[in-house]
Formats: sequence, C-alpha cells, structure tokens
Amino acid sequence: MNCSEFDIELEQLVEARGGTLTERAVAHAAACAGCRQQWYDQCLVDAALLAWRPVRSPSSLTESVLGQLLEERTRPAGSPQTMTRSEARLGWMAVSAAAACLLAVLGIGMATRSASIDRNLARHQSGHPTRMIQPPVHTSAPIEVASSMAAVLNDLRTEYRELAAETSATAREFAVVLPEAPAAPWAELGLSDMGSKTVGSTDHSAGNAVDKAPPGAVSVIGRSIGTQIGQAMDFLWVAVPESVPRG
Amino acid sequence: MDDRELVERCLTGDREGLRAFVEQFQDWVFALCFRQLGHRQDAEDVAQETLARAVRHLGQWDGVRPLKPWILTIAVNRCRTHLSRRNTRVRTVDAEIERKAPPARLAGFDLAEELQLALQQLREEYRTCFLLFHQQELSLHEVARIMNCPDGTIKTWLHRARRELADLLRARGVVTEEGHELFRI
Repeated sequence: MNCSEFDIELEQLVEARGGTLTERAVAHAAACAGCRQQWYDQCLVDAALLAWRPVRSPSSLTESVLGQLLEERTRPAGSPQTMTRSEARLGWMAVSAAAACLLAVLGIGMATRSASIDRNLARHQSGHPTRMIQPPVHTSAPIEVASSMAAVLNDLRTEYRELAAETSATAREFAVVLPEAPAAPWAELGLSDMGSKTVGSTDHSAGNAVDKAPPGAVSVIGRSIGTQIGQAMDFLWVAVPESVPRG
Repeated sequence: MDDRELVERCLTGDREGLRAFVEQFQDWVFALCFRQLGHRQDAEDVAQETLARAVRHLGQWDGVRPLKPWILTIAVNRCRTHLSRRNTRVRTVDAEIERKAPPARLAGFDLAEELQLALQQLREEYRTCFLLFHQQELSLHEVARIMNCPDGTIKTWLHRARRELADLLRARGVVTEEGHELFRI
C-alpha cells in the first residue's frame, strides 16, 4: 500500500462514519510517519466528536416561535415586525441603565443635601449662623433650642422640596424623551397574557415576557416608570409641610 | 405523525400541529445554530427565526423530499446571514481563542469545548459541512443538496475540515506526540 491508497482508505472510513483500517493500511501506517500522523489526527477528531454533548434547545424556544407566529398573524399590515429576543434584551438593558442613572443622580443629590444639612446643623450647634438660615436670638434657653430646631427643620423641608421638584422634573423628562409605542400589539397581547393566552402555557416568567415583548413595549414601560417616579415626587412635594412652627 | 401529515396540519392553522412541528425540529435547528454560531443567545434568535420562517414557507416544501434537510437549509442560510452581520464579534471570539492557548495534554482538556473553539476558526463552508455530516448525521448527498454543491466538493470540504480541526487541536496543545498513543485503535 502506498500513501495515496492509505489516504483513500482513511477517507472511506470517515465517510462510512466508522470502521477499522485493514491490515495492509495498519502496516503502512507503522512504516510511514506522515500517514500515521494522519491516522492519529482522524482519531483525535473522532474522540472530540464523541465528547460533544447533545445540545438541547431552551425550553422557552417553542413558546417564542409560536408567540411570534401568532403575533405575525394578528399584526395589522404595515406595522413593525416582532422584536427579536436580543433586541428585547437590549431594550431592557437601555431602560435599566436609564433607571440606574436616575437612581444614582437621586442618591448623589440626597447625599449632597444630607451633607449640607449636617454642616448647617453643626454650624447651628457651634453657634455660627449659616448662609441660608439666621437663627433667632432668644433670651431664654429652652425657647432658643426650640427655635434652632425649627430653623433646621425648615432648612430640611426646603432641601426636601427642592429635591422632590428636581426629581419630578427629571422623571417627567425621562417619560417624555422615550418615544410613544404603537399600542395595538402590546394591548392585544398584554404582558401577562403572553405565553399563556396565546400559546396555552403557564410558564411565563418575567424574562420570557420581556423576550416576547413587541416593539415599543420597552418604551411603554420606560414611560410608565418615569411617570410613576414623577407622581411619587409630586406626592412628596405636597406631603412635606410648608413650614415648621417655631417655638 | 409523518412529515406530510404534520405539514398539512400546520398549513390548516392547527395550533397543536404547529406546536408539534416546532417541538419536533427545534433541537436539531438549535443545535446546528449553536455549533455554527458558537453563541447561545444568537443561536436562540436564529433558531426562532428559522422555525418561524419554515412555518411561513411550508407551502413551498416539496413533499417528496424529507422535511429535516429542508428546514436545515433554512437554518444554514439564516446562520450565514447572521454571521455576515456580526463579523466583528466572530473576530473577537477568534482573538480570545488565540490568547488562551496553553500547551497541555489531553487529560487536562475539555475536548468538546476545544472542538467547539476550533470549529469557530474554520471557514464557514467547512464548518457547515462538518456539522451537517457529523452533528446532524446527514448523508453526503443531503449535505450537498443543502449547500447546493456537487457531492465531490462536499467530500473535499469534509476531509479538509477534519484535517484543519486536528491541526487546530494539536496547535492548542490538546494532544502531543505521546498523547496520540491514547487514540491508537
């Protein structure tokens, strides 16, 4: 046997998906380093193939495909196509990032104001008047303490109301910046309906629902978050009293 | 339920028929996409797209031919389109493979993972051919039909793919001269 014949026999084994070399081929490989190397290489690839575990599709794939098909059938002509799973993920990442930024800004703002209030309080305690608050001068000690406390509380109220106003404005801008979503597909399916009503499954985790969210759903949720933060801050604005009675 | 009956149920809009269709083929399609793309989330997207597209075009299926190769043809085309869109990401994966390359013996390696990494470095035609033949267990003739090439070309690509994979595995130190003794028949 020569090297070409050995090659052919080896390739035939591969195409037949298995088998053993003939005695002649083995004898040739024993004498020919190049062919022996080829033989070993083929065995190495086969061993790697054996080590390959079967790949199972994710359990949510069936529902995703059926959901997409249903959505395509119910979608009015000319409306945008279904968002892919990766597009939905990207959308959610964008909303999460925006929400995280908003929270970070809030946190920094509160920390700054808290530090400012602490400084003011310290100045009050040390007897130095602050830029914003002029502590009243009283002759009797208890009244002086009560007035100082009222001044600090008024300072706190002012800071709180300013923070509420700023956050409310930011949240409303956040809601406005996000584009309006087409209502039809989202309203038709509904976040909680996806996966259950459409395809008869009870397994609809938040992640799956997000993955199946139609275009614009992320904007709808983002706008909703912005509006809700705005409402909460409006409440704070109203709830914090106008002034603290002195004395 | 045979292929023709399944397709007929899907074409009439039978929801359970559609579910059966997707469940029957999703593992094959996903496995091919995952091995082809080397990325689970991308594979999910492309598998979803493939199966939805297959359902939409079921009317074009030639009932004389088996259904699986027809669906895999769609999957191969979808993977090709996806890869062409994300060339930069593939290069990133390749660079990562090149960076980690420690010389070591077979015993210290996850052979399956090494094969997957090596597979990502093959030419797309070689990779597709290798996967359709070995993973999907299609005949050379079926692979040729899916890839729209002569049988002889597919044979050549298959053997070149195997040789290149062996070279890549050896280059990564998966096996040494002594290690080869482990594979002797």
